Amino acid sequence: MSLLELFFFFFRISAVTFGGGIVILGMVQLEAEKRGDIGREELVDMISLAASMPGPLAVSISWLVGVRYRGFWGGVAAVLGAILPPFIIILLLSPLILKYSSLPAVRGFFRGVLAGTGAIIASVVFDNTKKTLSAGWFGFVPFIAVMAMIGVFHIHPFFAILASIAVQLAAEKTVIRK
Amino acid sequence: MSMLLKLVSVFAQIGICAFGGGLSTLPLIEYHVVTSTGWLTEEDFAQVLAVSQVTPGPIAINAATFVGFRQAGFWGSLAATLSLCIAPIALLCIVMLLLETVSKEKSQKAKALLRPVVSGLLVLSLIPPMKATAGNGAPAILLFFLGLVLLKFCRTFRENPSLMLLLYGAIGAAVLS
Repeated sequence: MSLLELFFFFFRISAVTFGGGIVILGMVQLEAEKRGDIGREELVDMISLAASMPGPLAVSISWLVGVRYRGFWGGVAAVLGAILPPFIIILLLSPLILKYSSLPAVRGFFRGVLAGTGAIIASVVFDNTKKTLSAGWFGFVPFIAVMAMIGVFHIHPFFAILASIAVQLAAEKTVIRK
Repeated sequence: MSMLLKLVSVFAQIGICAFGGGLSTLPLIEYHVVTSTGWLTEEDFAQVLAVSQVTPGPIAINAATFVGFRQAGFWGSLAATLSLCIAPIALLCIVMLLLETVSKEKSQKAKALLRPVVSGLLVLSLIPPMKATAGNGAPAILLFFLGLVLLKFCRTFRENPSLMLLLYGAIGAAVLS
């Protein structure tokens, strides 16, 4: 893909993908497989790496794919393509939101969307928690720990996440020693 | 410290901690823009969440652009959005340089370690919309429960949640204002 193609490849996907996250990885895989110039295996590896590193998934996957095709500037073109659609849309909406968010109809609109968002997150959380907790107590400790540290004690998320990972590594070491 | 530098620092931190992507980023953003800096109230934050759910793009980018704009206009939104993206890319480059090839086992292992952490973050991400909805009265709470049923049984909404949200927005404008 040329720089321009890379830019528009991610621009197109980003402009129609709501919510980001895992959804965007699926879209990229689907579209890239259609093109067929990256091996399936390689693509799965990139997606897997993007998912195990921090940062918006749209950003990490577009960087990896861009660099794979055209080096540094390929990465830049791909990332710009991925972030421009949401950036432009929010930039245009921001002044409107700030100006009109106290109007009753606008407030009502947000209240409705939030009720629906609650339902969407709740169903995601339900499935996800069931999966995590069914994997045994190993997952239970970091699961509770990260919630308590950020939600209750307001510890900086970076340290909270680090500590929750350290707990798991420590637990693994102890089990192996036995 | 000028506002632009503060925005860069805050959103770079969010970028570097944003494991799992999507909704699990929400508690991190809330920690930084509500709890620690006080830039937004809880209600403002819920509004940012609502906007990001009905516009395309990752929540973190939507939030960076909006909060940046609110705090420091166009340059604020640019600074916040770019630092949110550049920080994790820099980290990704460092990791790839150090490891040369990231083996499948390593990224599997990293994902396994992150899974329960991301689950915990997801539970936290439920708090802002639930708090807002609880404060918006019985019709809003009813809409929430109806949403659970719709997502369970209606394929169209399950596959296009933003369609449901737009409908909910319209209902909200009519009955929740």
